[in-house]
Amino acid sequence: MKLFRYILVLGIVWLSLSANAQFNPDKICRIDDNQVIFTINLKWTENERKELSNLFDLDSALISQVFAGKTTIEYGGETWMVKKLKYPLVELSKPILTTVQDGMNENDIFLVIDRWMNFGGTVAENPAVWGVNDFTIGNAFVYTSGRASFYLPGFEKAKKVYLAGSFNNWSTTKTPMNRASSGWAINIPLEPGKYTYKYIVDGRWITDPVNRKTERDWEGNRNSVLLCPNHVFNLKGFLKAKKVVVTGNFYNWNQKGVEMMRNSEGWSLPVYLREGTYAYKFLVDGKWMTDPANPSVRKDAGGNENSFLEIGEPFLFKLNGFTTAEKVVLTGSFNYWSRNELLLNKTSTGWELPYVVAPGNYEYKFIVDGKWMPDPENPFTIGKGELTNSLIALKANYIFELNGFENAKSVLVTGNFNGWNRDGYKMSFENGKWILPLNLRPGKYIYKFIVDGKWILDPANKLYEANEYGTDNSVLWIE
Amino acid sequence: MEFGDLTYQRMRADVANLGHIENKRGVKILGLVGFGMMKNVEIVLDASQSELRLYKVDKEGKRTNSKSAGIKSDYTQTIEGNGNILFLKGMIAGKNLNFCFDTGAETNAINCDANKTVLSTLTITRRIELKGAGNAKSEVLFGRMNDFTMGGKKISDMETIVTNLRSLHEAYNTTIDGMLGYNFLEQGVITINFVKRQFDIQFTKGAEK
Repeated sequence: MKLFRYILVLGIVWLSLSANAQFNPDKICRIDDNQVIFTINLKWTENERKELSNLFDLDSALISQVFAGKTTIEYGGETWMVKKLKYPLVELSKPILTTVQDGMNENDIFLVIDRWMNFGGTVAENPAVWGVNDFTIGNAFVYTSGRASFYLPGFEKAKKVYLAGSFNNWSTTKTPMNRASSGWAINIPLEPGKYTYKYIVDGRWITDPVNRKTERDWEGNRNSVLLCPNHVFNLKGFLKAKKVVVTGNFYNWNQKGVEMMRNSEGWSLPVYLREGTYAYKFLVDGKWMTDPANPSVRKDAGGNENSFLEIGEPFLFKLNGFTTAEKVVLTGSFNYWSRNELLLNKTSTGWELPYVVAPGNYEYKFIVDGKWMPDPENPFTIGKGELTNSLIALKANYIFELNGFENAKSVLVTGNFNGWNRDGYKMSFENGKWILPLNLRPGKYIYKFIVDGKWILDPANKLYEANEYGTDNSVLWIE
Repeated sequence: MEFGDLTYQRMRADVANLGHIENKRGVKILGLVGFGMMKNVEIVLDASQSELRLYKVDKEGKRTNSKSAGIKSDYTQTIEGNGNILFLKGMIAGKNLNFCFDTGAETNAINCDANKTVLSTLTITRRIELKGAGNAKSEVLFGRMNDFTMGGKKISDMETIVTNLRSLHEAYNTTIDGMLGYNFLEQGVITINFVKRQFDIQFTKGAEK
């Protein structure tokens, strides 16, 4: 009994310690007596330290010194004090910088304030790569044949309940819920994908109480997250297994994996996966295995066999010639420049690989027997010299065009879509004009052409606006 | 120019580049409507319904063509000052603070020169450091007000920026302790009547559970 009590006490201590280690951005920073104070947990993981650094603009070198146990840190012209609290907590503090010092450009400050204050929230998010739902009750969300059924239990005394989310542009009135047994329900058409949403109960915004999955938006608001699945991982049998998970390149091969659910025939997991190519494996009670129901199995360069899954239409990457080469690898921004994942297949005239990538603009290169090279057949590039990458726009929806300038040696288009890169994108001269196709999501774009080093407006575009240099930028709207 | 039943003639307008607003909002903008056009109407802002209602008013400021009586006001304040800027009285940690009301701003702001007690009630969730010439630096903090009240009504969890608002002092020619923006506006239904020089708010957000 005594031993049991001892274990219980230890258990509680362990629980409270692990609870302390939790990373809660709301509990890190405060202002007290003209000091900015950060409460830091020395048990935070590398990722949590990174998030600390991102959220509060603290340099990683400064954070390392805190974790190294320094008590006074001179950093960036300021003196930071570290006060030890009860292990593992420490307080990092310094005086708040209230005055605008000489040499400080007030306009810079204004720009940040302006960005934070006037953030409209309409900027398109990057599309999610994958995800699974996490509801506490089974009937809270059902997705079949392109229709999503939402069920909000409770709130029976409410007069009106609305559903607002990324799918209806956060409209407060477009999607009223209907009264259902012990709650509210609605059925709406939705494409597969990831969405964020909230309920509005008599004017009050709430996250979905039966959905565990939430995320903070840019402003720090918490929204519920749901996924309309477009694929189901299935593993027949193994009914005696305790735990089956699936993991793959979509989850950085995290061994924790995503837990599958047991049904009468085996294990399954509905997921949303964006268009693309995925390598995956199951882990049955910790034992790795490829998907027995999927004939598409490939070896990676390390010799491991993985199951492959393609969502969407493939694009054929081709390299002519090099028939005597032993190995050709495709690498690019679509697979984080992996040097060994995508081996091309040898044909009679060269090399090729059909590969599914989500719509977008990508940079890529071939690695021919260890030597990196841009695609010789593709005129579109970014960068210069050795740092030149080929550029491909999949499902391009806009073509930049510049008529004439037939004697120009180099014509580039650059803008806010490529971070105003001075070395790209390189256009190609075809049928009397310079062109470059791109995949652009809806929104406003500003750009310029660079003809033999000279920046010019698009002569065919009447729409332009002033920029901070007193020259102008061409403006393009993609609807 | 017409807005439904409201007609304006011979309005003065400046031609300006509004591209920066487009770039931020991602929407096309043809023009901005200034406060000049709102001086002789009663403005009702209802963010929860995404509604802006304008009522014609007579010389006393009473609605001329509407039978609805208007909102049930939880807090009423006279509009002071020289006209176009609306100052509101708020309270944090028992201290009276002078805010200007900016319907175009997304978030509230508090001057970091504000009272120590006021600042200590804030939760800070983000920080950014700005560097200038030499060693010059400044910082902007972002967080939430936990202890804001107006007319006795407590409003929790409103987002705010904490920074130096010196340039705003100069622009408004008065001391301001902060600025109230959209996330104050969405707390209820707001009525602004420049003829009566009266501001009213009926709190609706989080009013019932």
